[in-house]
Amino acid sequence: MSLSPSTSKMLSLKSSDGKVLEVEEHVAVLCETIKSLVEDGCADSPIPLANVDGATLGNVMEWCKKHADQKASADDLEDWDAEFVERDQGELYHLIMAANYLNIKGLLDLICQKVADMIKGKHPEKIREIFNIENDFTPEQQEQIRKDNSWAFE
Amino acid sequence: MANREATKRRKLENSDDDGEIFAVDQISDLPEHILHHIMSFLPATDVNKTIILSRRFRSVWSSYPIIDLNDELLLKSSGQYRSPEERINKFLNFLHVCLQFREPNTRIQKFTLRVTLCDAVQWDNRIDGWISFAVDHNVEELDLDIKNKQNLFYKLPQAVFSTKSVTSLKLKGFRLEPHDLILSCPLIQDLSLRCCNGLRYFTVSSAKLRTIELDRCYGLQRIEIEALFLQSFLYRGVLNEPCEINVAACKSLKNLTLERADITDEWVEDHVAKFLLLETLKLSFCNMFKNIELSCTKLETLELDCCKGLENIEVAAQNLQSFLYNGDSRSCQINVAACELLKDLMLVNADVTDRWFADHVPRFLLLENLKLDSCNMLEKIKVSNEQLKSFHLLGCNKLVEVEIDTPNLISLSYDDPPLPHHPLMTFSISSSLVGVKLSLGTASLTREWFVNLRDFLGFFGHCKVLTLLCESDEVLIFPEALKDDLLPPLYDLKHLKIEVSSTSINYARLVKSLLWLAPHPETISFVSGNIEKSIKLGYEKMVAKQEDPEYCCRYRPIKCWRHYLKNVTMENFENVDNKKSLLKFFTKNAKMLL
Repeated sequence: MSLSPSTSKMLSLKSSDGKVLEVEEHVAVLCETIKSLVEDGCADSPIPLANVDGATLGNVMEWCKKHADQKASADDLEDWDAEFVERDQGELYHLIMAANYLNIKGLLDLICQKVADMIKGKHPEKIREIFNIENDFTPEQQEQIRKDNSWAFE
Repeated sequence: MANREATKRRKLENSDDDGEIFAVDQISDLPEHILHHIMSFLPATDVNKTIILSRRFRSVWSSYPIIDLNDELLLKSSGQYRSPEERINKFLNFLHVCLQFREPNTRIQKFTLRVTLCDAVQWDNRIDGWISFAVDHNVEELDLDIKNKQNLFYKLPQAVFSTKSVTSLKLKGFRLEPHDLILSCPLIQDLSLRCCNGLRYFTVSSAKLRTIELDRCYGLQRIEIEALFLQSFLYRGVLNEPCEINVAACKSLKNLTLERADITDEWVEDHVAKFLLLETLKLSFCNMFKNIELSCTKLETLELDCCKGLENIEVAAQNLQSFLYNGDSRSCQINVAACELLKDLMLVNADVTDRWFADHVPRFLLLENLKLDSCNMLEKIKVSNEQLKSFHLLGCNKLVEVEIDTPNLISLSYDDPPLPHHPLMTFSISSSLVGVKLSLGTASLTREWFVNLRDFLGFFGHCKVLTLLCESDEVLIFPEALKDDLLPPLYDLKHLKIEVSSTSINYARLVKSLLWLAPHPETISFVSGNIEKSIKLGYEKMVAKQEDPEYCCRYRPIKCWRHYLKNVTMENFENVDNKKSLLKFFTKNAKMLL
């Protein structure tokens, strides 16, 4: 099967909230999940994507389109990616879930790296604050943690 | 999760550098395997920190398959502990607590433990507990490094011998019983034993082995390896402990590194010549062999470093790309003229002559990197290799004439130029150089020294970026009296970079001197560590008008920066005093500054 841009046909993707997106096939197949549907000839039109909402699907396809572009240089993509991940946590969360569901390794790595960068080198208290993580240890456990290993994480 | 999504996200009013803060914790909702994937992008310290974030994160950590426990990363400097014992005890207790959290039914892919024990401890159940746990959970990569202040060796837990899953085993600082490690671990591909003792004979035969490192194994007397698919073998011996090495059966060897090995001419002939796939050969401090003749067709890298008995090197490896020779200033015949594909040539303490240089170097048409370090027979050399990108000169104290005619040279660096003898030294550079790096060694700061430095710098006036490295800024502060007598050496230089090791720098004084050396630079920058402070200078193109007769440059055909400087911008000067004193200096001196 030829996936080159010149012969690429359009695929319809339907998001969980019912929005239909027309995407060039060579762009959409960056999602391994869609690629295997296409290769197996089971790409119904439109392809229902029950776990991805319309806004996130739009973002994902924007990323795929950029990365399917043969003309984009590595430096160019790096800069573009750096800008792409400048989003609020809600969007990052949905992008991770979508990249996981659609099986797009490059995008999943990108967003996971972004989240890791938000954690890296920070004090646990700060990490809880950034992600709004609730410290749900019991007072006894907290005391134990303080005694055992808080020293390690100053 | 649906509930979570339905919850209306509430943006808190305060936000900070780390992005906006939301009232909803979504990260904890991510599936475990994704959180593990995020953790794989984090350094071990940050991974281990997640244990105390929340119960969810502790549970995610407890099934994370890569465990890396390192006392130096986890513990702060010993300052806050009453004693080194207390510090290490804290760490061992932490190991114990972590182990309690582990999910019992998860696989461990990689287990790394690094710890420096302080007293005569050769056994600790908290360490052994972890090792047994890793082995019981089918660990694939086991990397254990246990140092002991008293140079004692940690007793290798029996558990390691019962592992069937390990494919990579790295041990440092262990006392090994003379068991057959390999027989116990049939899947091992990569084995590294460093600073271990107890092993007298290392005899293995395995078709799985890919790499073996035997690095300072005390008491080792004989090595016998039959591993047909072994690709890489490193042996580093111990001074005055001879060891017999037999790896002749390892016909697939690609990388062979021997240090302090008592190999003879016969050994080299018997072994090396038979490794038809050999790509890298590094021999250092092997003092027994005198001759080496190589013609391996696959050989790409050859390093002969301080092999003191060496008298004759004859290399006809057509694919050799990199050759390093450190002769320890002994006399040795070197013939590598047949290696016409050479890209990197590094000669250190080599007794090569001008004649040798002229016979060999021009043949290497693809040469990209050339390093000459303390080759004290060289007097006059000409370098004209068209592909040369970097040329590094160090010492070479007899050198008086260097001619460089290389159109693609990007960087020329010269460390420790013998400046006191310098009036004899000439550089002629006929290509336009992108970057020159000069490291100015120790200076006597006499008048003669500065005069020589000025002349020497004059050779590099046409490069694009000149970098000067020095210990203290003193060596760049030209005496005022000299400045009146001499012409500045770097009239055309646009970018000057200074790397000073000392932290106390009087910037105004230094900049004043630098602007004498290079009167019209576009940037002057100061590099220390990762920080680059820079000053950008903009000039008025028009020729300066009528001058105050008392002002500088009265008798100079080309006027200095004071007459043209129009604007100055400074970046990364965090210290306000430095910035102020520089600004004061510029406003006082530059007539046209806006």
